[in-house]
Amino acid sequence: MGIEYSLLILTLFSGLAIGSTSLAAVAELGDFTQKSERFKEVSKWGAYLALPCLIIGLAASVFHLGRPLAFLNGLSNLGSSWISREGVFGILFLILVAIYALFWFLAGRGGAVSKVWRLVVGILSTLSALALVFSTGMAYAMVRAIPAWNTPLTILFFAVSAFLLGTLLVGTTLAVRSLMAKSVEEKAVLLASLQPFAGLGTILVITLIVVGGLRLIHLSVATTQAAGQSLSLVTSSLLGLTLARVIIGMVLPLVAMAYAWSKVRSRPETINTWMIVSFVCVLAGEVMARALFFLTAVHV
Amino acid sequence: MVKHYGMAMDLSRCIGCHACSIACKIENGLEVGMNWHRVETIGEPGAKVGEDLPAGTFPDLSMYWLPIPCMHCINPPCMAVCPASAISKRADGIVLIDKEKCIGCKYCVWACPYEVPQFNPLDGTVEKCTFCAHRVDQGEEPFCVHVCVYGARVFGDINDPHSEVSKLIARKHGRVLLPEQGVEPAVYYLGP
Repeated sequence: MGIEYSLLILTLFSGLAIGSTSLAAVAELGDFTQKSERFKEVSKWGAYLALPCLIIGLAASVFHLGRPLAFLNGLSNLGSSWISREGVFGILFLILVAIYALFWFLAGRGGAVSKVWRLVVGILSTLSALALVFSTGMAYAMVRAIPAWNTPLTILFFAVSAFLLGTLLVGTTLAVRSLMAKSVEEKAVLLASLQPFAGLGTILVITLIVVGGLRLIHLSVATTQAAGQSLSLVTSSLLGLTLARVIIGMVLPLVAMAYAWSKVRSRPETINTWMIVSFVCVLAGEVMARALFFLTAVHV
Repeated sequence: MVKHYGMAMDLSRCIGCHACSIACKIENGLEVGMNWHRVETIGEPGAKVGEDLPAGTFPDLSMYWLPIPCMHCINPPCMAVCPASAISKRADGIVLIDKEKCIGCKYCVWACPYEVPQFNPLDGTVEKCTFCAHRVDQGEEPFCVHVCVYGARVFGDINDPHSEVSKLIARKHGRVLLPEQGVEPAVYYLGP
């Protein structure tokens, strides 16, 4: 199968939106329970960044269709089609995350939206985001005719990828703002927000490596000829792309974030540079991962 | 029992003339590049499409042709995944795509184990073999069955044990492609 570019854009950008929204809501919940504002910037930028990412992703999904103007027809088989469910959860997520971002925008202008309501919308956005990534994974995982996709690991891949992409997107935004901060206080606040990112990013990259390894094992133990052909593609004609994906998208960010994590206390400002490096590497790696996802899809 | 149209193809009779594929294109007015019914050569692994190369070494050679129309499955995976509810199954088992509803997402193309549905870039929708439902409704056979020179195909109700197709499947131990997929195709193959 060839690369489905519009679906690559959809899964990449919806992943960014899903991850950043989930991070924003978790950070806001943490602040709410601790009665602090330590992760206020994380929540705010998570909500702000998720909206344009989701719009780009959903727009790409519409242009994937042969008849884009008839896209509403695609919501009519909720009973059995995960694509229909993905569409419904995508639209629901868009509405909720737009409200979430609006609440943050109003809060920055002295608006009257209470923190409780903002938290509720954030959690609802996250729930719809989780439903969206699950539906995306299921849409591929249930295709029995393509053994490379026909595994729960497909759902796990999209979920872990989304959390990693979103975490690093928000982290990179805060890192850039930290590097550009004019006052010492602002820089200190941003660095305090960024502290957990290196550890979280490291854990997520390790999880992604484990899921990637398990997907290869799934292909190697599957008994179908198509699974064997998928594995053969990974180890022959697509070996270069596979190695590039592993080195650029997994090894480099793992080393960068692990290093930043080790310097969290002694040199906290180190995280700024390594966060940006990690995000660029992971973004490139996830583009390649999605290209491989389609290129290794072999029919039974 | 409920009627379910199906087909039996005797591969020992098929000579790979592709008359069925051409008949399908003519009867259904297919655009250039669209092919609802393909005939694969099962011979030398890795041979290019259109090359009728036998497998093995002379004199132990083997080759046969495998015609692949829509299988009009009892559990069609294309219908389950279609987000637009554009794919439906008639009471007689024929699976059809409503081009007015189809949005061209191509998930049915991926979901079909036989790679039968085809995306038509000219109108942005997916289309496939209909078992010539328009002819069946007139009491006629699908056109591919009608034109098959060697009578390699028999069409009928596979749920009726007294139908010619059912008797043939039973007598010649008809088998289906990719039974492990669990889609229960209604096209049976007889012969090699």
